[in-house]
Amino acid sequence: MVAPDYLQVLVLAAVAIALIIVTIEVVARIVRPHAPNPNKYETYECGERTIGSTGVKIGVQYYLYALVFIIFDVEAVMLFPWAVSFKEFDGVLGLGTIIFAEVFMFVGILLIGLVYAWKRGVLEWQEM
Amino acid sequence: MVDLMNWAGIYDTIEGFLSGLGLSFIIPLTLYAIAALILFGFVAALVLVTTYLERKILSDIQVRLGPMETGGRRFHGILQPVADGIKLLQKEDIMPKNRDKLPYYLAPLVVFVPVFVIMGLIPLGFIPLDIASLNKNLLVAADLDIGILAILALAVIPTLGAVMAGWSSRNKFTTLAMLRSVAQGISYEIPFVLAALAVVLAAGSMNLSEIVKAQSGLWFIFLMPIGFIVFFMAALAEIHRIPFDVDEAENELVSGVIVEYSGMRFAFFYLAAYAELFIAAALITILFLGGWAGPVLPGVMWFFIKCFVIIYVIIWMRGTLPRVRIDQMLAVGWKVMLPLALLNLLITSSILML
Repeated sequence: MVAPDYLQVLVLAAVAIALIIVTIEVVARIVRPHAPNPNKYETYECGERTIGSTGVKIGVQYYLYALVFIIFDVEAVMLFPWAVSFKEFDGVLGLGTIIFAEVFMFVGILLIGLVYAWKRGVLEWQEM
Repeated sequence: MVDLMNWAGIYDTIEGFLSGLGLSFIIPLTLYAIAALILFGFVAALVLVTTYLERKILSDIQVRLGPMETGGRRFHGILQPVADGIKLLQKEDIMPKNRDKLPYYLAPLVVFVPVFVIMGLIPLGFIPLDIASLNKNLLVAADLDIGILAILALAVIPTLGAVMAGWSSRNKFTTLAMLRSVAQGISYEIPFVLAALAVVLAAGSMNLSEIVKAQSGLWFIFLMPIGFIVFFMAALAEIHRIPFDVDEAENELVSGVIVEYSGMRFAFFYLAAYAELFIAAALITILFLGGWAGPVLPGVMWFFIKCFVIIYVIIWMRGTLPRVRIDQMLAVGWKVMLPLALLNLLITSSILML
């Protein structure tokens, strides 16, 4: 059995999906005009006829940012349990210094990675 | 919100009706669905108010009057957002013929649904009534223990919707906008999450009402001013507002990934954009400005006052600041915001250990 609040979240998502589909496919279909014309369905490009495909090669720059992002996003997720329990460890158990040092060793190692990426020019925008 | 409906007598009415039909097992689902519809009305009303405010504040900054005619000159064009909505509903449904059908169709859903769910996770304050029969008198659709984590996780999904919209439209403007949108979204996601993490650290909980309670002594903006600045700027980048709106730069990319959308499909992107504006303001209020805490007035009013002050500042920035270039923006994200967010984490945890 799902906890009530999580069930509410699922129902919110379901209602949102239903509302969008009903609005676009039913309500708007009743009131909107339908006057097809082949020119209307051309790709928009400020009145010019579009040339070539959009399935082009994309600069490698974007992938490098994505790789650095994945490292740090995982780091952020790993830090959340630490952040929630930090006060309890510090106040009740008196272990604040230890888990503080542990986490900042972890962050420090990742920071070395960031500095390395920085020095290698991964974070510079390359002209393509 | 279901607790509030219990008190308002909706529960008894529905229970009587559905039990009579022999359908008593769907009573909770019906209540949740009603809560969702109320929330949708709230989101729509909020978007109407925010768009009107944005047009009026921008026109005031630019020394002009803005919309004045709709709804009568005496009322300063107050019905303009309603007229805009009706117009969008009446627009012909034009879809480019060489689109990628399924992603093109699903993109408005992928953008709007997570934003709508986040709206349901944000508590707007305590109900200013003292009723014993309520378990929780918090004005929220779903009060999750992992509140802020769920919000941060859901807040990334609209970027995926932008990719779907941009790629499936097969349009050069949308393709460029999609690339920029993703680069921007992922670069500012890390400072955004790390600044929120410092708040979780100081509050010792991910529940949003617990975070507000933890600020009863000292607002977190005073405990971690660096974190506030980082979170504010990262939130601006996440919701693609000026000065970080490189992915919908009007004079380069027409209007970003939504170029090929029209009518109600466009309207849901628009609703999501303005709901995101409110979500950013609400998160800044809850995480740093003490949420609904405040003297004299009821909490809900304080919450909206703080939110609309933040929204005003964001619109003010739109009227004042130029747009940064994408390389400058990404450089600031990685080389300034990320180290600052980590520094803020270090300072906050050091202060907590003292």
